[in-house]
Amino acid sequence: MNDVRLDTNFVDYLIVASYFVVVLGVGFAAKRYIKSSLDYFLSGRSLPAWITGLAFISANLGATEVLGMAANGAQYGIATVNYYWIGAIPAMVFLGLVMMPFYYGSKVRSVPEYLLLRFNKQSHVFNSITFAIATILIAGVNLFALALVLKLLLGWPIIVGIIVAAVIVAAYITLGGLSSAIYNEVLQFFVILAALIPITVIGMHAVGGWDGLKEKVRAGDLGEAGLHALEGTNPGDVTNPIGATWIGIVFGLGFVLAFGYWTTNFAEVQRALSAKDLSAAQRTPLIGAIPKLFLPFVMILPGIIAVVVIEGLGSGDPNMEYNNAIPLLMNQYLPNGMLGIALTGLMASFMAGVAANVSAFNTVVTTDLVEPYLKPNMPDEWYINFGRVATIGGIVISIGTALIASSYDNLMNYLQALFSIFNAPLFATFIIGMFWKRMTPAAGLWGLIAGTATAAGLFIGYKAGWIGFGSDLDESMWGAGSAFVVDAIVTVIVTYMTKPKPIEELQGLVYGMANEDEAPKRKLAWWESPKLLGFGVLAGATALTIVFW
Amino acid sequence: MSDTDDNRAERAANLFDLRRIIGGVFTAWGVLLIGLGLFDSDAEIEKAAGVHINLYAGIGMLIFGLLFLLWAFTRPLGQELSDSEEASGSVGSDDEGTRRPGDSAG
Repeated sequence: MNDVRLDTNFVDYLIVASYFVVVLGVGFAAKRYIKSSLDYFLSGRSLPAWITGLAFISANLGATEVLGMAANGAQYGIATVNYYWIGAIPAMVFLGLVMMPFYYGSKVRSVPEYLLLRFNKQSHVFNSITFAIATILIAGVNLFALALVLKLLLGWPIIVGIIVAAVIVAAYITLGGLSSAIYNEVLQFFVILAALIPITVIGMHAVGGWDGLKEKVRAGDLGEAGLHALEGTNPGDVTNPIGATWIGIVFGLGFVLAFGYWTTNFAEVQRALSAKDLSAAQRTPLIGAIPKLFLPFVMILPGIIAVVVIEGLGSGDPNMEYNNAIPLLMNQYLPNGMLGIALTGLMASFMAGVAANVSAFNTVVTTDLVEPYLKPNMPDEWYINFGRVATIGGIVISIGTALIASSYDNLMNYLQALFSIFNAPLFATFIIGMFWKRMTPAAGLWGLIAGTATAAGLFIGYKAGWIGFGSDLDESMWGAGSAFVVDAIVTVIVTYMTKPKPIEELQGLVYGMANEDEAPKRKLAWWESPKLLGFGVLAGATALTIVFW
Repeated sequence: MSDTDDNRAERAANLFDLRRIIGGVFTAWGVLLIGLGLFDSDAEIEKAAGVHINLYAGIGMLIFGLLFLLWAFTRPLGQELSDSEEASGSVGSDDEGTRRPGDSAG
C-alpha cells in the first residue's frame, strides 16, 4: 500500500506548536487569573456583531465541513453549492428574521429548554437524549478526522490515531481549552481560510484557471454534469451527479435538512442568544451568511480541483477516499511553511470539534437529564464530578463512534444522514409549535418520536439494502423530507386528540405572542437593518445559483 | 462595580482582546513565511505549480495581521466595552459565563 505521507519538517511543526501554545496558554492563563471578566468577554456580548457572526459560521466549520465539502465537490462537482445557496443561506435568513424573536424573546438559553416551556417534560427528555446521541456521533466524526490527519502526518494506522487523538483531546479539555471556545472558533476561522485560499489559488493556477478546470472536468468522470448546480434535476430525467431531483434538493436538502440544522442546532442558535439585544441576535446569523455566500469558492472548488489533478481520487483505494481531497492537495502543492499553516488549520478545527461536542454531551447529560430527572437536589460538587465522569465517558464512546465514521468514504454524507434523523423532525415540531397555538404538549412528544423513527428507519433500510436511493445524499434528503412530513402529520392528529396548553402559558413562545424586546431601543443605522441584510444575502445566493445553474 | 474592578476588567479585556491575538499570530506567521519564501528553492516553487506561495501567503498574512493589530490598538476593547455598558445601562454580568448544553457543538 503506498501510503500518503505529508513531507513535513521542523518549520511546519513549529507553526502547529505555536498555535497550540497560544490557544492553550491564553485559555489556561485566562482561566486561572481573570475568570469572571474573561467569561464576560467570551460571552460575545461585548464583541462587535461581525465577530458573533463569524463565531456563528465557525461553529459549523469543523472537520465535516472542511473535509466533507471538498469531498462533495470531488464527488458531485458544482452541484455541491446547493448546500450553501439553497440550503444554508435561506435557513440562516429564516432563523434571523422569523425565528429569532421567539428564541430571544422567550429568554430560553438552549433549544431543549424551549421544548420544555412550549410542550412538556417528556419532549424535553426525548430531545435531550437524542441530542446527547447526536453530539457523541459527531464527536466521533471529528475524532476520526483528526486521526486521518495523524495518519497523513505520521503514518499511524487509523485506529491508533483515533485512540491517541482521544487522549490528546482529553488533555486539551482538562487544560482549559474549552473556556476559550469563541477564541478558538474565530481564530480558527481565519486559520482555515489561510489554509484554503492558497490551496485554491495554487490549484486554479495548476489547472489553467477557470476555463482549464471546466475543460478538465468535462473530460473527466463527472463530465459536463459536474459543472452545474441545478441542471439535470427534473424528475424522470435526472442526470445531476447527486442523483436527486430538484424536489429532493429544494425540499429535502434546502427546506428540511438545512432549516433543521441551522434553526434548531444548539451551537448555532446559542451564538445568537448571547447577543446584547434582539436586533444583534437577529443580525448574528445574517452576518454569518455573508462569508457563507463565498465559502464555496474555497471549500468546494478545491474538491473539484482535486478530482482533476489527483489521479485515482475516489477509486476505492483507502488512501484515495474523497475525504482525503484536501490533505492530498496539501501534499501535492504546499511547500514547507504553508504546509504547517494548513495542518494547523485542520488540527485546530478538528480538535475544537471533538472538544466542543464532548463538552456538549457532558452538559446535556448532566444538566438536562441527570440533574432535573434522575438525581435531583445533590450538592453542586456531585454534579461537577459527574460531569467529569461524563466527559471521560463521552470520549471513550466517541472512540467507538469514530470507528462508525471511518466506514464512510465521504464524511459529509454521514453527517447529513445524522441530521436527517436528529434535526429534521425537530424542525417540524418547532415550526408547527411556533406558529400553531393549538398544538398540544403530547403532539410535541409524539411528533418528534414518529419523525425520528421514520428517518432512522429509512436510513437503516437504505444501509441494509432494502430501499434504494440515487446516492447517500439522496437518501438523507428523502429521510429528512419524510421525517418532516411524518412528524407534521402525527403532530396534527395527536393535537386534535389531546388538550392544548392554556394560552397564557404560551406568552413569548408562539407567533403573535412574542415578548417585546426589553433592551433599551437604540437607533439602528440603515445598514444594521436585519431585513435589508437578510434580503441582501438572499439576493446574492439567488444570483450565484443562476450564474452556476 | 468599583473603579478598580472596572480597570481590572478593562485591562483583562485588552490583554485577551481577540483582535490582538489574531493580529499577533498572523503577523508572526506572516514574517516567518516571508522569510521562508525568500529562500524557497526552485524545487519548492515548482511543487506549488510555479506559484511563490510562501512569499505571497506570507505577505497576505502579514498585512492581515498588522491590520488587526492596528484596529485593536486604535480602538481598545476595554474602553469600548465600558462605553457600550454605559450606553446600554446594563451591567451585563448576570450569567454570561454559564455554558449551556451544546454551547459550542458543531
